[in-house]
This record gives sequence, structure tokens and C-alpha cells, in this order.
Amino acid sequence: MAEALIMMKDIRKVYYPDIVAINSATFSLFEGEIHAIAGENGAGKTTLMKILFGLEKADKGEVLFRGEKVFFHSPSDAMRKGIGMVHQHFMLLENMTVADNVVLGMEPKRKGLYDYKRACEITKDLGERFDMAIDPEIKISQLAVGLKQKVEIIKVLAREARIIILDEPTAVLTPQETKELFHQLKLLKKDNFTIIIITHKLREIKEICDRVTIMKSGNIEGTYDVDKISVEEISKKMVGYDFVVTEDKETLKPGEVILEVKNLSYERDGKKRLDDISFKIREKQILGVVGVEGNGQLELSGVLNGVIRNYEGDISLDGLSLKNKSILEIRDRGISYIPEDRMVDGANLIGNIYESAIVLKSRDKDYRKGKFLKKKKLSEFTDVLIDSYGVKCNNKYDQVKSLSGGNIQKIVSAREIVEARRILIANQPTRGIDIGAVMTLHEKLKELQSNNLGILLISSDLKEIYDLTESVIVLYEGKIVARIKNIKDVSEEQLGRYMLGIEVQEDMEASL
Amino acid sequence: MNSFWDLFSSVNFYVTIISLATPLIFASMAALISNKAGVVNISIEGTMLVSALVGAIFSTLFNSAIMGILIACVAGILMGYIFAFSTIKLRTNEILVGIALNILAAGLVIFIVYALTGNKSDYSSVPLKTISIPLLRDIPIIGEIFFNSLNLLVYLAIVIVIAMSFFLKKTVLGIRIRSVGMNAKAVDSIGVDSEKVKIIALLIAGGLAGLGGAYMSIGFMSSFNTGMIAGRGFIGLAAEAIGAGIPYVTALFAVVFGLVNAFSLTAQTITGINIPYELLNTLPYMVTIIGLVVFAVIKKRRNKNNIKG
Repeated sequence: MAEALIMMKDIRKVYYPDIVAINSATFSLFEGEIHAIAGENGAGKTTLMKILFGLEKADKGEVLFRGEKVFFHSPSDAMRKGIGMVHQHFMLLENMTVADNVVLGMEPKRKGLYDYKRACEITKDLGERFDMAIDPEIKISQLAVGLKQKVEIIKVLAREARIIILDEPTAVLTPQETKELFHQLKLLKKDNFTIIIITHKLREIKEICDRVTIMKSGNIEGTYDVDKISVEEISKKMVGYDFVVTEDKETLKPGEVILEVKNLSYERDGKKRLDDISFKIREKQILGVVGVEGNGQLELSGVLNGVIRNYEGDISLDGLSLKNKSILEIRDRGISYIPEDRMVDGANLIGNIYESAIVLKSRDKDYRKGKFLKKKKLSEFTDVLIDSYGVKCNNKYDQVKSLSGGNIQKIVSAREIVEARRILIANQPTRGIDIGAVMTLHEKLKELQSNNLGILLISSDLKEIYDLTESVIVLYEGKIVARIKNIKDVSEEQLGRYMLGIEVQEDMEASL
Repeated sequence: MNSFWDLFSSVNFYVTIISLATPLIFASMAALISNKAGVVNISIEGTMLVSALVGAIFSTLFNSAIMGILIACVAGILMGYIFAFSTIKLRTNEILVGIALNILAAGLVIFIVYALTGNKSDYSSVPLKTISIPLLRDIPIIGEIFFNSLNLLVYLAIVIVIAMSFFLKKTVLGIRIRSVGMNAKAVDSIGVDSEKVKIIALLIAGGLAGLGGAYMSIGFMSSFNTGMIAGRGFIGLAAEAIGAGIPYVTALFAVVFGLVNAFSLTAQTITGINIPYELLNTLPYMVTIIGLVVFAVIKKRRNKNNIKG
């Protein structure tokens, strides 16, 4: 191939005081390719790209743009060279319109004033050109995640970027939205745009990328043509050990019924969020709940952990009703809960690891003396959690905010799993975290299962569902549209049809 | 005056309302633009106080009310810069800096007045003349209230409310100020310096607070007094909070507070009413607290209906 469009040479980045984010990385990018940067959370992928985009400064190394040495002191420098970035956490103004967001910083003017009409036109034109039609006058807060991402991409295109960096673009998308995104990326590639995707989803690398650069703990493991490397090889280089893509799950025979949900309905703002839902969870059973996001999953987990109490119907644990019980009472009965959003509900970001780890344990009589906490015992407890889940940190007093998403999730999950006695509700437990962390968590879930617990696994990752569960219910608009006794009998396509509400299962087995 | 009816039917009462609402409008607009940029700016109170004194001093120095007002405005901008520099560049807590500036202002004005005059509280100014507009002043009642006994700064306050609404909606700078207040990171990520935008907003806020201060010593009274701002900066903040950041609604609540203030001052003159003078004086502040509580309750109710399960 010709000369590299971008060459990053011997980049090194150390965060204060001594956390090595990138040890030494050399990376090249060719014009018109889709290039994946793969690696576990904390491998340094995002940091490397932030350096390229001028958001972070490298301590060592240089960046060449078309063979010429460049210094990007800020994103505007990078943007001037035609580099744009779509961040994992969107950088959008929620209370402003799509058009406002697209032109922010390059606002069109007429007679010295902001020309909103022109802003709408610019947005519309770009949307149409790249097959991302979106109403320019709608407020961002009213858009679904997939559309927000489109706005981010249009924003980058409006700045005439020719190189687009996408940080974990599919982490928040449904399968359908992912498909659409890939379609658009292919269109962009056809127009000779260069695209970098930061990801750890191997299937996506295979599906859409030309080359892949694999990073592991701050180093580059190598850059490969995607059609010359297998998924197994990529995962091996990412994680450092063999990751078996499909694994036979052992079948455990479910025991007694633990949790029974009977005719559960819940209404908010005049809309039924949950509509006549009934199911049972038995000992040694992982019941999967699938559905496109926003079809009742959040409400279901809310009802089960006590956040939502004004529902109709009944829920009973070991034969005793949970109706009108507080969150604490429900927890004391043996239900644990891994919340969907670790950043908001799971952990205290500005506190340290120790505080987030002991929040449940500190209620335990063995860990306190009257009103006072037994600090030494709780410290030991935290160390054991960090150890057994392999949380990457300096020590237990690191601020939670400073950890990667996967490591935060490990802490939250560890805390909940340790406390689970009868039922664990896991809402998207492995979203956006790396393979290593996913495997750790899956192991722990299986361990719980074999210890006679029941697990409700709400997940939009179908692979996870196929790997861990046998029986599954599908939610669509708050209703159960399919009850599947053995997931192996149902294809992913068929599951997709249920999830999208195209099809409702005939004579659902009520036994589930 | 013999009764409340006399009070409410007198033209003077309404002129007093407008006169007392004016400094609150300036203060609330300063609070509004700070808040739009995402800053809680409690230094408005101290800024008004310093500007009131600066205005009085320079109006006598140049023997011109207008010069006094202009220089008071500059002093306000300077105060705004001190606040902006400490909070944005040095990253100190904005509430603490606000408190520090307010305390500094309170001490500083006494020091300066004493150094200049030998007394500790008053400094006379060259006051602004009232404007009487021919023809318009002849309209019954309305003419007497609005076009016969007000001064330039009152009209300026009204213009500023309209201009503020326009500025925030239609100008690029206004939109950027609002954007920074919503999500400064998002603004930085596209290469616009959010700190610069914030500083500009705070300088404008300082200038507006400066005008509010000048109004007190040059427009409303003909002298400066160390206690004359009397929490008007804070009431401006309250009006902004209740007005939910909308310029016209904010101004409306500034007028409501002006009304209460006018009532508390004039109710004392009604014969046959035995409300203690001290109690009446607390009225504007009581209404502020009640207003904020009512606003908070309404907001909470509204949120409850919108928030997810």
C-alpha cells in the first residue's frame, strides 16, 4: 500500500503519578480503510485515539500526517486536519435541537445573527447525503440512542472530517441499529472516508473492518489484515489466553420454585410498561429476558428490587409475597440486584473502591460493633473481592471514577453476587466491558447457579443469552411475546422476530 | 394615607414599585446570564455594592451622573473578572469565592467611604434626572406612572430584558453561553473554548450588576449608603430561580419582589395600621423564601410526573 495517512510512532503516555496507559505504541492508518483498534478495557485504545485527536498529550513519540510531523494541542488542531471523533459517551446538548448540535462551534450567520434555518439545511443535506435522514428540529433528549449517535456522526461530517474515530460505537446499540450503523460506515468508506473503530467485539471486527490493531496493557500486539486472522487468534492476542467462542453449557436440573411473578402489570404516564407478566424462577435456573431496549426490562427489574412499588399483580419469594416491601426488606429476603447503569445506580463514582464494595456488607452484624464499622474486617473483605474478581487498580482506595468500565462493573457485581442468597437480578451485567471481565462474571454467575440460586438475566447480548441460559422470555412493549423452554431450539433470527414484535409465539407454554 | 385603598389607587405607589423593581431586574439578569453559562454567581450582591459606591464617587468627581454609571459598570465588569478568574482559571469553589467577594465588598466600601469623608456610611452622588416625555406623559394614569417620573436606568433595565431574550436565542455567543451551561464538555469537544465563553458571560453579569448598583446610588437615591443594596443581589438570584431562566418571567418576578418591597415601605404610612415597622421590613425576604419554596414544590411535582419509574 501507499504511504500511511497517519503514522503514530513510539507513543507513550503515563497518567499522574505512575499509571502507564500506553507503554509504547506505533500505529499506522491508510486512507480509505476501516481500521479496528481492539483490546480489553484499560488496554490503552481510547487513550491512543485521544492522543491522535488532540484530547491528550503524549509524553513521548510523534504523529505524522501524510508523512509530515504534526502537533495536535487540542481537538481543533486535529479537526483542522480532518480528524473527527465520536465519543463513547455522547457529547450532545440534550435540550437543544439536532441542528443546533450539528453546527455548534461553526454556526452559520446571517446579518451577524445565528441563522437557524441554514443550520437545519446543513443538517438535512448531510443526513440525506449519507443516508442518515433525521429531523433537524427535534430535541436531542427525545432521540433514541441510535439516533443520537447519528447526530454525532453528522456533527463530525459537518466539520468536513475525512478520518472518523468511533469509540465503542455499538456498545449502546440494538442489533438493528448496529446493522444500520455498519451500512452507513460502508457508505462512508465508499466515499473514501477513513474510519477507526475502537471495539472489543470480535464479530464486528470480522464483519466490517479491513485491518485490526490489537492492544494489550499499553502495548501494540500487532496489526493484521482482518481476512488473514481468525477470531480465535484475535481474542488470544487481546486477552493473552484462549477464549473459547462457543462453549457447551452444562445442563443443571432446576429445583424448587423460588420466585413467582403473577399477572404483573405496571402503568406510567398512561402507558402500560408491563402488561400481565407471569413467570417463575427455580433453583439452579438462569432465566433470560430478551427484548429491544425500552420494552419493559428496566421496569421489570425495578419492580423486582423494590424501586417500583405501585404495580398490580403479585410477586412471591419462597411462597411469601413481596408486595409493598421496601428495597431493604426485599434485599434482606435474599434478592440481589446488579443495576443496568453502573455509573448512575451501581457505584459512587467519586468515592473509592472500598466504599462501593462494602455498602451492603457494612450492614452485617459481624462487620460492625454497634454503630461503628469494623474497618479491618471490611478492608479484608474488599481485598478479597478485588482479588477474586481481578479488579485492576492500585489499591482499594482508588477513586471509582479512575477505573475502566469493566473494572467498575466487576466491583458492583462482586458486591451483589456475594450477598445473593436466593435470587440475583442481573440487568445488562456485561454491557460494554471486555472479554476478560465478561468471562469472570459468567463464571461467577454459573457458580451461583450451581449453588442452588435462581438468576434473572436481562441482556441485549444474544450471545450471552445463548451461552448462559436455557429458558428465555421475550418482552415486547411490556408483554411477554414468547416463552422459550430451550433456547437452542430457536434461531437468532426467530428470536429477532419476537423481539421486534413481528411475530408472537403461538400457544405459549404457560409453565415457564 | 388612610387605607390600603388609598395606597393602591395612588400613582406614587406604582412608581415606587417600578423604581424598586429596577435594581432587582438588573440583578436578576446578571444571575440569569451567569446561570445560563452554568455558574451560580452569588457575588452579584457584593458587585452591586462596590459599583454603587464607585458610581457615587465618580458621578461627583465628573459632576455627571452618566459618567458615574459608566464607571460603575466598568467596576462591575472588574468584579466579574475577579470572580471568573478565581473560579474558572484558579478553579476555586464558586460559592466560596462569592462569599469572599461579598464580605470583601462590605468591608471595602466602609473603608473607602471613611477614607474619603470621615464618616462610615454615606457618600452623596450626582443623581440621575427623571425623564418626562412630552405627549406620552399626558396619557391618564399610564402616562403619569411610566412617562413622567422615571429615569434613564429604568428604561435601560426594560431594554436589557428584551435584549437578553434576543441575545440568548438569536446570537451565536448567546447560543454558545447556553451550550456551555448545558454541557461544557460537549462544547470543548468540538474545539470551542468553554472557559472563554464562561468568562465572557460572567463579565456581562458583572456589568449588569454594576448598573444595578449604580442605579441604587445615582438613580434611586442621591447618595451612597453602605447598607443600601440590602440583599437585592440575592433577591435577583431568587427571581431568576423562580423565573426558570426565562428572561421575561424572571423580570416579572423581579417586579413582584419590587411590589412587595414597595408595599413594605409605604404600608407604614397608612394611618391606623399597627404593623410594626421592623416586621414590614422583613416582608421582601419572607416573600422570597415563600416564593422559592412554592417554586421548588411545583418543580418537584412536575419532575415526579416525568421521571422514570
